Amino acid sequence: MTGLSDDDLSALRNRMIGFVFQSFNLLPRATALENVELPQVYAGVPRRTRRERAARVLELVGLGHRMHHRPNALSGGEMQRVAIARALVNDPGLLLADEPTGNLDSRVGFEVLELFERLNRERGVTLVIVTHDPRVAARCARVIELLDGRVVRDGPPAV
Amino acid sequence: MDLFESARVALDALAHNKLRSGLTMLGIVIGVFAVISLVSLGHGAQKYVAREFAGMGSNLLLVTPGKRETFGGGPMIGAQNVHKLTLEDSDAIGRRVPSVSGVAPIIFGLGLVKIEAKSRNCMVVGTGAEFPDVRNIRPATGSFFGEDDVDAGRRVVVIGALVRRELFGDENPLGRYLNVMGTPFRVIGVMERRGVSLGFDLDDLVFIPVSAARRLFNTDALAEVMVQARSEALVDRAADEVRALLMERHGGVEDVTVITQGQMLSTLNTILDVLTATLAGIAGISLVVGGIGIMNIMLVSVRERTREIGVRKAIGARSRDILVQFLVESVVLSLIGGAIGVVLAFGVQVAAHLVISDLPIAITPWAVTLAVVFSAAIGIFFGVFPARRASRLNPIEALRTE
Repeated sequence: MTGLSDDDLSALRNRMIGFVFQSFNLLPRATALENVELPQVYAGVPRRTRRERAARVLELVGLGHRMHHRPNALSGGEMQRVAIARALVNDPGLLLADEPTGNLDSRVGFEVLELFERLNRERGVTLVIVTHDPRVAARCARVIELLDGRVVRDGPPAV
Repeated sequence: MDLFESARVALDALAHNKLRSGLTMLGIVIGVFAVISLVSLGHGAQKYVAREFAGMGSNLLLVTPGKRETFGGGPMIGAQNVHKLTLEDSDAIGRRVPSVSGVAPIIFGLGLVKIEAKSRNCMVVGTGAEFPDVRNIRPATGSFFGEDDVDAGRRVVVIGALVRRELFGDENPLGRYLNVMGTPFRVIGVMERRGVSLGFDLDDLVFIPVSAARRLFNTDALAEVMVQARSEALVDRAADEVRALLMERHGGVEDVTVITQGQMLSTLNTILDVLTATLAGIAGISLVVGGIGIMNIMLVSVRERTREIGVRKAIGARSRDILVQFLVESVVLSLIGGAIGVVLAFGVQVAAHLVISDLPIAITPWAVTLAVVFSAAIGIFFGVFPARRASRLNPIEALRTE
């Protein structure tokens, strides 16, 4: 992967990997639908197709009713779900989530985790979640613990 | 991302910062407005000069005493002449140069013209009977003097429209005696109105036969001879023939200058071209300053939207997509500014034309094309640096900035 060109890396991020951030990173001036459309814009998907697909993915994450809201009109949990929809829209095999629940209260964070689990189960998406929260880690199939940049444990979650 | 999509994103971003976009655009608006207005002004002046020259008569040559290498206005005051240009020279041109259809010798001087209690200082022109044909100006009432009047040196006068109004009012001037510089002349005609042409009021003249003028001014030297060639094709040949004839008559010395109407016009046009280019160049500086304003704002914008750039890259934007996005934004900014500048320049010219109808509207298509191409080029030129900076951002670092 280190040998790939800048354009190849962009294509990789576009199609193979979905990114979910702690602070959502939605474009503030675009609606939920437009935010979810964006990866497809860069993938060269025609306008109509990408509208339909974005709408479908938003339905999937349970936001079918809030498609035309801008991020500042959405709650934290809703924004994270828009971000997840955006990460999913090009059907990547891998989702990288960096502290996806870090900015959410525990109840909403729990809903997000449920969504992740459902995606994993139903769509076969591989999830890599970075977290400080042992309760989040406890729900994963494999946990790699890092301390000062070194792997100190690798295996199923400790109960 | 296609161009249409980029333009939409760019317009959206520009609309988000209306005041900032507007002020940045203003720099380009002023630059384009200034360039177009000044270029048009130059063209307007050229059109005006061309029109005045056409009204002067066609296929003209101007013969002035003294040899000069450069062409341009009239003879230099106090220039040393080897030979005078005489009425005999003028007559010889008419008789012996076949490519010439008309000759008008000219003597002029400022003199007092009086009738009863009214008087006026005006230009007294002594000339020949062919003057109306050569100079393309007709008497409105009465008639111009004929060959016999000139040959006999009769004291008859044809007055300009302004002179008639000032001295005679509503009275009929024909047949009245006008005192020209102390000598009575009988009025036989009034010229048609012509107005000011190239800074010279043709209505404020009185015309007398050149023979009478010689006596009045007490000189046999002509100020100039106006010669009309038979056709446009014969102008250059006529000029050569007139030059050769006068050289022969003046003992083999070329001591006259023969300029054609075309040479006079092209000299003036050269001057106006240089003037226009200089003015446009100065105005172009303001366009460059406007371009720097765009670059400045785009750099600020790239910094402000570092995070957005990071997000876009994270979800798959290539560096090229980011480059195009910011480039389109600066080009849209400068193009809109350019378009407003063109419209503004056009509006001001129409308004100026309504106020001063003598000022021709001269928005040339190429000036507009130039302005639009130029403003787009400025958008690209000054947008490339900020856009490259944006496109080269590392997505990880860009996402980390707050």
